[in-house]
Amino acid sequence: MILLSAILCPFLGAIGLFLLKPKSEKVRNPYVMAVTVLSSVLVALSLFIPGDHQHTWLQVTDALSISFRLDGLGRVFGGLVAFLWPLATLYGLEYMRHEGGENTFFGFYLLSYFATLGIAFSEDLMTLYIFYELLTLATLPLVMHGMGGRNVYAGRKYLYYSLGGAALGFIALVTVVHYSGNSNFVYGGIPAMMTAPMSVLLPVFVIGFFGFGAKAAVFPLHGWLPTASIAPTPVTALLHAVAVVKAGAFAVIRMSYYCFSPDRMRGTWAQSVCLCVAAGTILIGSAMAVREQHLKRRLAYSTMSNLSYVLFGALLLTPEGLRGGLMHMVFHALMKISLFSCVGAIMIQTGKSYVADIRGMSKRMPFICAVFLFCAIELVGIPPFVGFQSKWALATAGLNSGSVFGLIGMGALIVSAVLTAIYLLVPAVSTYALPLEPTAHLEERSYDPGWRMKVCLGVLCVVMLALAFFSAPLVRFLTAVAGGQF
Amino acid sequence: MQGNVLLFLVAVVPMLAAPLSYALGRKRAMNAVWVMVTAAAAVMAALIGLLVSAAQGAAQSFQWDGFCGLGLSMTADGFRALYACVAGLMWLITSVFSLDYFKHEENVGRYAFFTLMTFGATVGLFLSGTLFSTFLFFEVMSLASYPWVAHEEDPAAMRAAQTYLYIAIIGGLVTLMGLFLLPNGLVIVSYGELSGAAAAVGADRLWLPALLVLFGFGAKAGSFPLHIWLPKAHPVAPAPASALLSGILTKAGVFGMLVLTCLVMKGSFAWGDLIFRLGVITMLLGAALAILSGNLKRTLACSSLSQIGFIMVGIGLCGMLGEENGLAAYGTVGHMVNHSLFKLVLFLCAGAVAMNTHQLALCDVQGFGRKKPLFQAAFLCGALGISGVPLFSGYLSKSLLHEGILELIAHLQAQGQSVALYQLSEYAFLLAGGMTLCYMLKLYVCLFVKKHPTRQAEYDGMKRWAFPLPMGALLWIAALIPLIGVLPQVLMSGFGSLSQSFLEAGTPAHLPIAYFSGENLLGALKSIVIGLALYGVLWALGRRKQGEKSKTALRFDLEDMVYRPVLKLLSWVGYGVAFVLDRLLDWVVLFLKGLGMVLGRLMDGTGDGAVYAAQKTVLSPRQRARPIPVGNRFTFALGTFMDGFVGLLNLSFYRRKPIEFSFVAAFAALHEEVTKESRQLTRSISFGLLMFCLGLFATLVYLLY
Repeated sequence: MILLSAILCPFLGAIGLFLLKPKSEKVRNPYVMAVTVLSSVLVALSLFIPGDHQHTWLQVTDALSISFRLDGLGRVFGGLVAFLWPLATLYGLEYMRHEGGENTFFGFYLLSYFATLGIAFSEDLMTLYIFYELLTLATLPLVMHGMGGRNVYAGRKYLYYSLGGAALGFIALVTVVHYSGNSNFVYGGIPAMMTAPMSVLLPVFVIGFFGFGAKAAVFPLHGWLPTASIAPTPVTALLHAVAVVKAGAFAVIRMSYYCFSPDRMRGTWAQSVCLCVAAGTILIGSAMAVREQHLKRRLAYSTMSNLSYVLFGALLLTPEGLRGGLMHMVFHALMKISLFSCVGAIMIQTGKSYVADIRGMSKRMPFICAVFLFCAIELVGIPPFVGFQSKWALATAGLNSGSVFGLIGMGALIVSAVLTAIYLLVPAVSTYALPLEPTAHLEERSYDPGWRMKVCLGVLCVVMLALAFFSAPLVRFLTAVAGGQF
Repeated sequence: MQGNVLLFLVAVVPMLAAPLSYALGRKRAMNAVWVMVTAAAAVMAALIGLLVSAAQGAAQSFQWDGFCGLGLSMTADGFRALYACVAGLMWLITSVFSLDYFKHEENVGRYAFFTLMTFGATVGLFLSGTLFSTFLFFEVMSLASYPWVAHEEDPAAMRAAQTYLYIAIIGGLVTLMGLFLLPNGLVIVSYGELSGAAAAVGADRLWLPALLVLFGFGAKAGSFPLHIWLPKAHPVAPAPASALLSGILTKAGVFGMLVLTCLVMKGSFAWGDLIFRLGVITMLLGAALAILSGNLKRTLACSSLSQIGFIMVGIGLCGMLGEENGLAAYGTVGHMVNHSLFKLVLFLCAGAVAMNTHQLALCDVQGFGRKKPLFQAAFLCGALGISGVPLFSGYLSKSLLHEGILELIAHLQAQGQSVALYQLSEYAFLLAGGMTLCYMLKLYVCLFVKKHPTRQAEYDGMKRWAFPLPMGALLWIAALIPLIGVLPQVLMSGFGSLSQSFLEAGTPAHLPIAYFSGENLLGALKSIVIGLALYGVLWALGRRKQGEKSKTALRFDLEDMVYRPVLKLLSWVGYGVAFVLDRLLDWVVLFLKGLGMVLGRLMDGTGDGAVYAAQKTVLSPRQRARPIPVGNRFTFALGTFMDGFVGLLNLSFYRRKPIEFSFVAAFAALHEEVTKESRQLTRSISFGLLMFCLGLFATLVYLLY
């Protein structure tokens, strides 16, 4: 019951916000914060209260239902989202002052939270699919927020790609339901699907990978992500770096480990195709990011590349690979949300949004630039920080998988790390090493943002720094999850 | 965490002191430097304790399982404690010197912050117990030292810093790739058991990973062909940082090479040979660059390249000589320690020059050292040491290395193999020693013999060229060089025997080593003679071309002519491919959209089209033939054709005077006339015929009847 209340809390909150339409910030901010924190607290409670909290919400047919259950993988994704959402909301409350339309925005922001929690805690593929589509619809108004020509274009592109991907995912869903009856997740594959013919399963696996991978920006269905970076920063930071894209990766993991049997899929051509696509996406994303001059689009390409790290790890179809993928899923979420938040802060405080404009910015925004540099170092994978740990886990998993595609992926990781240094570390260093552009027209004062953004970024940095040295318990937990415990 | 936490603390305390120094430095810049001095002194004291404990055979170690995934492991055995001590000493002395050097510099807090970070990482690196731990500290050290190179923030420094950063990152990641590929978890096998574990795997499977790991360490050490960053980065840093970059950070790369050669690839002749050859090239190249350089610090930086080449020759010998590599190992370690001291002294001398004159080009600083006996003494200790003059420490280590080469030649001759290459290498070794003397002589003459054309009086007036404390530190450290030189059995052999177990080297055949044997003295003499002769030749050449600006500087820069263009090309190709792939789906969608529109229109219009076509053909109402206006069909058709032709002519050739003639009418008239006349004619003939026939008929009737 507590799980259901955690999922429904943001939904009811959103309805309330739509009905109340508070005029003043003094009402809206506490309300939005309270709903978000309450949901996160409920999620945290359900994570720590033992048991799987199974709850069938709606019986659709005899076999099919909308039902929720808490398992290891759901704990990882749900916990991650519940940790980040209040922080991003805090950030967003300050940010959206500059954009306007807060009531609509936070209404749909809460709805997205609802949909994401639904994805994290769904018990079967059917429920997951429904919330997956809901997430697309809930985030669409956020992407189109502002309703400028480019926003609408980005929204349309996002819709086409997401719905197109979901259509492919639907094929996988139908196949799974056909063979298994109720599509309930079981680690290691649904037993009823063990007898299904490989000639059907393999093409469906590839189709499902591309379908659910569309949200994780897998080549060639990645085009929406850089375009959608036009959205307000709280959206790009939380949804397009964490919730939406990781929901895509999460769905792929659910499909490959909890519906299809990883043991049966290992070594097939379907796995090879998926691994190649993931490795290719890693390289394409990084290579595009190097030339991209718009900061947010550059980060969006980087997200595309990093999401494929996660997919690559997951598609090795070994517990070790899944462990690496989950590590990168968690760590990348922390790093990327901070990076986007820094860039967003620079954009609203100084109006600069291109790489060349932030040279020497540390003199005007010391706090933001310090965080930016720190996160850049993390993302490149400089030891002992978290980015290094997950990359090490992924690369060794690739090597130990014994497949030649694992080796290819490992090479892609290394090349991508070099490219990451070029597209992220070089600009981050340039905020310190180079003088301020004389044409920047910035006054002699600190442009650092207000306390809300600083708290959000500060908490994230402290967590990352702590994880750099004391990640062992978290890694143990992720290892257990990847091994099918919980 | 288990074991002696002191080992971890010596690496972490400087890193923790770094923010403190930055914070204190905001108020008063020198506070930051004092934090550096204090931290370095504290760490130094702890390191000496560790060294003493190691020398007594009780090597301390520390473990932190699960740190950064694979765990951190540190051990202070003889060699590692010794080198960590050298690092501590270098930091202590440079920090003390910084008290003076940074009096008038900016961004001291930043410098102190990153110096302390690098300090912690470097000490940690030299104490590290597994390849993984080494790599962790190596990466932190590489990146934390970047702000040194960028410190001056002028274009030259920024460019050098950019190259430094790229080399650090690419080198680090290639090394990481090599570590990934190391089989059987060799990455986390402690160095004490590494050679055994590696032997169990077999050298064949280790070549590729070892080469990749060598890439990063070689780049840091400045080995050919990855030396490009070194002559640019070392001179632009502040002098204390230059001393650290040259004296100790390059040794971090050498440390990695030692691990690879003596532990991972132990017993592989080919691997030792590779390092040996790279060493010979680096040795000669660096010395040649140093001779040709016209800048005080650049000469010293190129000299570092050359000396690293000497050390690499030693490492190669350690690998090639197998069990009999005792002398080579002693020489390698000795030369590492010596070179650290030389570069410390020489770069601090250069720093003294720079902070007094604010110049570094040789033509600008000539005559600075005149009438400064203490300065001259310090410089001479470093110069004579590095040139390998007997009674100074460089002579000892170079002699050992030279003996190592001779031993290798003898060894190979005994096996009946060709030794021509190694014979040549021996000559190259002596030549490089001579070149060392040559460029140090160049610097000496410039600083202490020549006079500055305009500023000599000003230079002579700079009696107080440094504060007493930094000056004392410099002189004290310079005095170590002759001290080692005259007490070889205590110090030099001591360094060697401390390191023997870590390098898993054999014991030299004849202990105590005869450092001052006739053979060794002869080798040193050869080098000195070569050096003097070389200097004489260059001096004569230089006199002839006096006044002309030196054109001998090597125009061929590997970085500008090879690496940067290749990288640029690669980046463009990569970007092109990625761009096409990135936009692929967009283009496909666009194409499909267009195609769909066309096909849709086509399909949509099929019914209508069929109806239209039918209307035009089958279902069209029958046309009534138009009456011919004039003439008959034939004349009308022909006339129309001809009129058309005439119309064309009128449009083209007869534009000016168009033909106004209607063939239709003409043909019609002709037809009319012909019809008329023929009718007349026909009529007349028929009449005649009728008459004729009647006549015939009458004739016929007459004849018959």
